[in-house]
Amino acid sequence: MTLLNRETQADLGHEEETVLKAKTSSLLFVGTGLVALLGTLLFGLIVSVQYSFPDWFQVIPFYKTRPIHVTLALTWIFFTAIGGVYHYLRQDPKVRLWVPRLSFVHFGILLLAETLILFAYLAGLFGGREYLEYPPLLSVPVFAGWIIFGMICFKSLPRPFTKLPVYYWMWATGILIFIYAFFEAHLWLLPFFGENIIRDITVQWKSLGSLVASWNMFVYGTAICLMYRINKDEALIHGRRSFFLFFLALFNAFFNWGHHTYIVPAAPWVVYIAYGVSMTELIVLYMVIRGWLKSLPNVKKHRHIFPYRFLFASEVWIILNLVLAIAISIPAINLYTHGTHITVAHSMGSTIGINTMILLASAFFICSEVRKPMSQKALTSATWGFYLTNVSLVVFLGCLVGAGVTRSYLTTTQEILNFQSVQNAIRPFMLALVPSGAVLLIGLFLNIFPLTMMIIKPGKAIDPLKKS
Amino acid sequence: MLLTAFIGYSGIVYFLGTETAKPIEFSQEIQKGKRLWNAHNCVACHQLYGLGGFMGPDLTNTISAKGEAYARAFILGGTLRMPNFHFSETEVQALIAFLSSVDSTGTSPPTTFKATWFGTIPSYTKEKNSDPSE
Repeated sequence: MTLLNRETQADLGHEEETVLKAKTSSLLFVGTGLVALLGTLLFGLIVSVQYSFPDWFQVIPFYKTRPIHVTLALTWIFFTAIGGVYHYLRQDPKVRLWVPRLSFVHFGILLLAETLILFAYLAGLFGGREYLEYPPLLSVPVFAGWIIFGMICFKSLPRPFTKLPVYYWMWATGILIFIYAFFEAHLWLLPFFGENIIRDITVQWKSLGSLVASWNMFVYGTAICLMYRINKDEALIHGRRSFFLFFLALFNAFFNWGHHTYIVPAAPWVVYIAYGVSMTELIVLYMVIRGWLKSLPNVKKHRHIFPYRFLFASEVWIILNLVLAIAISIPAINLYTHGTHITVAHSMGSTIGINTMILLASAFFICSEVRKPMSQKALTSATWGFYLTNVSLVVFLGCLVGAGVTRSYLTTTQEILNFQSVQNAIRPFMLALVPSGAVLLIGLFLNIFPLTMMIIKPGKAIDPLKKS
Repeated sequence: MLLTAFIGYSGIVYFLGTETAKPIEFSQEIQKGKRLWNAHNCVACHQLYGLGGFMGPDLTNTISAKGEAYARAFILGGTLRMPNFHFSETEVQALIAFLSSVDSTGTSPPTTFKATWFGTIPSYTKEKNSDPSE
């Protein structure tokens, strides 16, 4: 509420007040997401320096900085995506947000949970699993926050659901997938799962795969919504092609997790099914490239608009990442790449190259609609930021792939299994990771700063569509 | 239909296909070792079956490959990369028991495999799990 102009608020009737509340909760989510992005970049830089110089910055050792880095990255993705959902719901004249105050409760609960989790990591209080390393009790507020979010969305969406645009379907199923996968990620607490290491690891990675799929539903839904808001192309949100891609994505969300566990000695059919499902991504790759080539003239035409720029960049990263994802999903290749930095390159490429580009596009779009436009100086800095981010990301991912290929070559072909020998061989790549990570941080900061300033400084709403 | 298939497949993965061929008794000591593993966030640096952090080595087969004494020395003293957590003797023993139980379930990375024309490697898993005597 502190973001609202009080005089403006006093003049509003109930209906307008409802709308304004929803707007403010969306900005709270997006603003917190941007702060988390800056935090994850700082901790990512610390992690990469600690990897090469382990005795550096022992105040917060690596086993604490890594989960902090990951948690802040997840906070960036989920908070910004959720902020976008509230904003786009508010903009839809057919949608009346159900109990708008609940969106503030939702924000408060998730923020409290994230804060407690970060403090637990700083204090060295662990007890969970990879990516959810905090004591499992802290999952309760996270779970409650998502139940509230689900209630708000499902109660707000107009009926019948079958007539809804594809991005609402993606967000709604994203919520359901998250709730189920988050529950599944805690099954290890039951002895039946926790006391069998093979079942434990398999189910853990099944749930993590679905959690990634859930945020992809939010992010890709955001991208489609954003493209529609800019182009007003009905085929994009109601067309057969869009729904085919949605169901394909849903199919992958349910079943495309097994390539994480190819070398875990589960039954061979688990591998075969995972392999088959992974290859359906080839269809997505084909359709993305075809769509991208068709949209190229439009992108060039609108290259001065930030959402377009970031969406364009995300499509290039989607193609590169899909090629890598499909390659490492082939068991014969996965045998060499599994457990190497190539996997890290894939996840970093997805979270920065795809998710962050789309979410920044969304953040720029939202801010341009509800805040004063950026100054010329801020526009120039954001433009520099855009290019610095993308160029440094290429170098950053190149270093990770180089380290992964070297490690794979040494451990499989040369059969050098001594850990320290392999570490020495990949050291040049890991050292190059630090400056490229620093430039990446600077590049993204040049975008985070003007966006945060726009959110903090109240100003009248400017609708770029009306303006144009 | 997709939802039904998902629920069905989840149930199958929970109950079939993920059982160990040689049942392992999950003793109190192993449970304690696993709790310590989680409580000190060992997975931030170490991998099991190639899953985890890259700061330290994969520990799936460290007991059979290097021996208990080797693992004990690292757990007790730490290294430049690994903090000394000041574990007690019973805690060290519990961690070794946990790592031994992981070790008995399989091999990481797999050492025997065969590539086929469609790119899969049917027999590269379970070499330990299916027949520990080999």
